[in-house]
Amino acid sequence: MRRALTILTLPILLLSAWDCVPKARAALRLWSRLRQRHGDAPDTGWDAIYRQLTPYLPARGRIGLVQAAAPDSPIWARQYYYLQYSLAPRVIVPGAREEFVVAYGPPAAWPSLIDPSSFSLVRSFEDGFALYRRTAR
Amino acid sequence: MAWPAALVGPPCVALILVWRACARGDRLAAAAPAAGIALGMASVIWSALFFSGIPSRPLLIGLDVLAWTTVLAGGLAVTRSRRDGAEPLHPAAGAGTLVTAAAATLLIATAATAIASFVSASAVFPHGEWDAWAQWNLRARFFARGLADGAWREAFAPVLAWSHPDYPPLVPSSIARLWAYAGRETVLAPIAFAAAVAAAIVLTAGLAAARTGGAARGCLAAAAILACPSFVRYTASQCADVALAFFMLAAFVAWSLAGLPAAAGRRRAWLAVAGLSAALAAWTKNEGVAFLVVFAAAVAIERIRSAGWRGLADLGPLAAGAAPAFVMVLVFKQTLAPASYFVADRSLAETLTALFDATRAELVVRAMARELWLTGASVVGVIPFLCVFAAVRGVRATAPGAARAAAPAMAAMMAIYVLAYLATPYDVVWQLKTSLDRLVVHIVPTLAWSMMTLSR
Repeated sequence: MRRALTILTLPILLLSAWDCVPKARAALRLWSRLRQRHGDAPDTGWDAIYRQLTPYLPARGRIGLVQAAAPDSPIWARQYYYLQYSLAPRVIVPGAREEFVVAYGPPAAWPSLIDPSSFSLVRSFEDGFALYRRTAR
Repeated sequence: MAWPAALVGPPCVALILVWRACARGDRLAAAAPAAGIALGMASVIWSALFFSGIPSRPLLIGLDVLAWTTVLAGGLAVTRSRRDGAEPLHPAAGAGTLVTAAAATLLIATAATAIASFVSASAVFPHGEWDAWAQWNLRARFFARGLADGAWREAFAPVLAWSHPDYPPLVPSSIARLWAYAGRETVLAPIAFAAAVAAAIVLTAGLAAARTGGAARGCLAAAAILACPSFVRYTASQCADVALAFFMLAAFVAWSLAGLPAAAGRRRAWLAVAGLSAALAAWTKNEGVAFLVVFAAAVAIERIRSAGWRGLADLGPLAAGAAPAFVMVLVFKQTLAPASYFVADRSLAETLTALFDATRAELVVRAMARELWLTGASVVGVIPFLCVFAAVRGVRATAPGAARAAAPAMAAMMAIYVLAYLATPYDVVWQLKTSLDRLVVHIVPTLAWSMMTLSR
């Protein structure tokens, strides 16, 4: 009797296990799409894009960041945190008080994000950000 | 390819010592927790060397290798080889062929799904989920890239408070250690570390449950963990929660191994291993500090119940085992970690008001109950299965004290998490949404092992 009841508990476990399948299938589909495109994972791509900044930056220290995205929005957080992840051990500090400042947003918005009379453009990048360097205090 | 050797080296040292010191029947049950705990201990040794300010990668690696060679030599010197076998603890009648076959099939199916999910999720998100790259792997990059010039200390800068730099660094230092051996950053290192910890969990729960309850119980314990959608998701996420879940489980399993008849003479050693694992939980996440206290209390209560006040003598080896990792936690908290946001962002009066807010309490308790029911599933999760299973089978009178104490200890952990949600200075709805499923993963492996071990 107890053995039969034990067998009857297994469907509960099966129900939970079944819920792992759609997530596995979705991840497999994404992976298969990536392989078809012979592309890097999106995060690896962004990491490489942000690391294009490193030749222009000191090896350590603070880098400013001004963004067009609304503060505390998911896009704002994603840009800020992932830039920090890519550029560590430099510390990204919101604002334009540092010598080097990254302006993030559509190119048309850069002049409104950063004072052009105090900063000069070091390099702009295709993916919506540019590096500025302070010229005057 | 030095980093794979650095990953498997400490577990191999642990396996050699376990094989030598344990009776034949106990070796498999002891191997997985010992290997996983060695992975955690590798982080403690590396961090002790690294935080002491050694700026040279070759010197760090040389000292790390020396430390593990010393552990192996010391272990071989103090253990003697055992060739005796341990009595089987589970009566041959344990489970019928049908139940064993069903449990094994379930294990194979859930393991295949979990492996497919892990491999594909790791390929699509090789840097892990948001919390992994914004916290754990970010700090690993600071440790690896800032080694030579001391810039790694910037990881604890107040401006990075959003990355929770107050969290202990078991995972970041483990990854940084592997990158140091590799001589470069490779996403394969955190992926392999996550896989190793997840495998250690499944093997620890499965083999320990099989040791006391037979093969079917072992398969069911492992399958219950792998059937938990949240566990499968967070294994590939590279977050520290799965590692914390492992050290919580391994502490209870090591405690139960101390009580096995064949462990006579090794009892104090296994209690020390249990203490070490509980302290490694504290070295993994702040929640682990709460676990260390709960675990010590669980051991104390169980020992007083079963052996009177004399039983408290078991706390001695437990504390001795916990000491190395616990000292590292204290040093880290005193010298590097900024204050936790719980105390930094809110006054005591505000915290007390939040704790006694009935509406907030109802919200948190409802969310917690829902998550405990589902654990990432859509209809019913593994915790209800484990409870129904234990109710149907009944509790074994001879079940180890560790297995009996595990469920109340996990309930205490959930109560502590409820209090933490009540006290959080952040928006509680947002915090529940972004973290509750991860926290419930902490208790699933321990519950799976304990329910399968204590059921008749």
